[in-house]
Amino acid sequence: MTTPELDYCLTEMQRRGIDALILGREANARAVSGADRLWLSGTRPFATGCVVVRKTAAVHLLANSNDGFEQFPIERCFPLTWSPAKLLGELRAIPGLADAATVGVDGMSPAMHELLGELVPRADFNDAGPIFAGMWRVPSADKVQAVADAARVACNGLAAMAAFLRDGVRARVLRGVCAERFAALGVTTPAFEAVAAPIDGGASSWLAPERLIGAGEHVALRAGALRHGWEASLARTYVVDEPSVAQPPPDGWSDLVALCQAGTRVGHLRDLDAVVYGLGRGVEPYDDDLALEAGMVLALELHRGRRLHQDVLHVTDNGPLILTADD
Amino acid sequence: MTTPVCTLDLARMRRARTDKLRTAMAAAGIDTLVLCNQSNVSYATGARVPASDHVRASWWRAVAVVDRTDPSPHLYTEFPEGSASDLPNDHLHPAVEVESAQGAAELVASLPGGQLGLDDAPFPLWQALRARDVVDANRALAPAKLTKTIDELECIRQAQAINERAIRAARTAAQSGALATDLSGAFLRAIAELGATSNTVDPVFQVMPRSVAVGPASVTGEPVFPLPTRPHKLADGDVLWVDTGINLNGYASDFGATWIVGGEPDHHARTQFGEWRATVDRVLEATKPGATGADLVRVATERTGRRPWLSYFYLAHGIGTDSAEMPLIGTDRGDEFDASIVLQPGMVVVFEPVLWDDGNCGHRSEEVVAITEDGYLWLSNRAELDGAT
Repeated sequence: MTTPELDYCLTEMQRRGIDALILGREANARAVSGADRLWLSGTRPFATGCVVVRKTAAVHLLANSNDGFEQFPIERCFPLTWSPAKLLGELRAIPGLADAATVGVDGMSPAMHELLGELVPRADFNDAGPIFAGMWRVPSADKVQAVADAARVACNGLAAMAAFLRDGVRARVLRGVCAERFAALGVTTPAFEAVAAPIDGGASSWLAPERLIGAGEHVALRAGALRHGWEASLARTYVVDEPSVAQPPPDGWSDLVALCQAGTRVGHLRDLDAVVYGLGRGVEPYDDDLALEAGMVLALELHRGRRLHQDVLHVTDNGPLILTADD
Repeated sequence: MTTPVCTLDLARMRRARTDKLRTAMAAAGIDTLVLCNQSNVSYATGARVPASDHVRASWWRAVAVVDRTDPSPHLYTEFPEGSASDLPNDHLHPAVEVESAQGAAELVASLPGGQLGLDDAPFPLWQALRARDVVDANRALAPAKLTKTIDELECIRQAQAINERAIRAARTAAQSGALATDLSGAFLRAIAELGATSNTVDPVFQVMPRSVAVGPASVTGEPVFPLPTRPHKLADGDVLWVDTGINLNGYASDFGATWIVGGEPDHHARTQFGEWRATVDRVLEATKPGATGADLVRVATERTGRRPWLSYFYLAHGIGTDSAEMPLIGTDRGDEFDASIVLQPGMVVVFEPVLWDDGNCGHRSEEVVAITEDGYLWLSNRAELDGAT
């Protein structure tokens, strides 16, 4: 089994002299294996959830089944266990892992360090992060399509929230409406739980106060979907009415969008008050000095006064395409 | 309905947790804790961050630094509005990017000398701590978290009550022709409306096979559970295994049940539930302070000589800021580990045996109790046989 992402990973391991990867982050594991395992909210402790061995070009997964990703060979799944001794046994049985001299990891804890010290006593541990940061930068039509598909779900969820945004509604009701709409489109996992936040100067647009929303208020709606492990999100501002009225983006928005083309420095967009980050298998942080390139998919956000707006953009040779455009 | 444990006082809960954590740090010889895991940061500080997928959660990661001699923890967060109201201003800091070498170095430079305890780190932070002697933060966190205060118990009870109330919406939706993901939608909408802080796991509504051989492919030869919920169309007679978790004020809940779509339970389903009920009832009789995990495993297995649960799970697990935490009873760590677990007042135990009758499917449910001075009290409602009249 091979994929462009796994090929990239193995090539980078070769180039960087990394013999094996031990990955705890689901997005990384999914990129190299296609695994579709149960989604959990929030940060996850580093664990031996996925192993890549360069010598054998093989990926091994902590999973009791390959259900839903049958292209992954089940003989390379190793079972869940609560026993460090059994886990060590499973890892030792992975061909080529115990001989690894350089092991890339995407996290570490004292407990895992002790376990890995027994597994690969002479290994140096390196940061696997740069391999995946590079992988996220590889232009991919599949990625753009996957994010666009997630964007359609996010747009639908936000539209459902807008339809329920009335005088006297609570933010949490809208959050539930969004999740229900996502599920109606077959998506039960969010990029983040939807937000409906009154914009009243200084209040958070992420952790909304649990109060009744009133007529005439400016309210920011945020929706983010994680569809098959690919993320897309958007934000819009409405004035509460019957029905509520979508507000145009803040001043300067269309100029910002026009700047999202090859060659523009991310720092330049940030100087113009934009929030900018890459999107794909989750958030892909950008440095200020990164220059945009055709093929990139990014989130662009601007909050000025009482208007907050966010879209997902695909940077192309012909300028930016908005993947979360209103129909 | 369960009975409230107390009138919930979140400030009292935070104070009690801080005291327990500092006592546990002293016992473990840890001077400073550096915490990066969301549930640990929540435990140490009461801080809330938006609920999100793990990549975003890592990017948004809040960090707590707990000094044993300081009555308040330091919190580094992108979301100051999510911090506890009683956190002193000079302990609330802008987010520190421990996912980057620069941010990690900044944090490490600000740490006092002495013994550090670390839970789990992005690799750049781990590298930045190379010159320091670092031990596992669980040496302090685990004993502090093992028993709950009355406010923590009340949080878990309320979280469980929201979970159970919301599950009624999903049960109503579980009809022939519906998609399994419709049940997820009904559930997720209901928990939001009922005031859950967040959802914690893709709600599981898994159609189980009659026998393992039918699939999905199983690495252990046992039923495979839980799997992600997919838009699978439900049909009369489908047996659904349900597993849902929500968070309230930083505390988890855990609901488990077996549903039969569009019909009454047949002879097999009744027998399986009867066995499940009898197993848990026998275990509950033995559930009191001083009993060991090994005692409970013995009671659960003595009638048939078999372990009526999945080998890769357990007879019971604890619950708190994580949905599965200590005490873990009946895992594959073995008898000695089970014998080392002694029930104490304030522990919370989730019983989740699985009765599998290959060829005729099986039953799983979950029940949550807290250990008291002389027995236990219910934090969940009792499991029921679905569809029985």
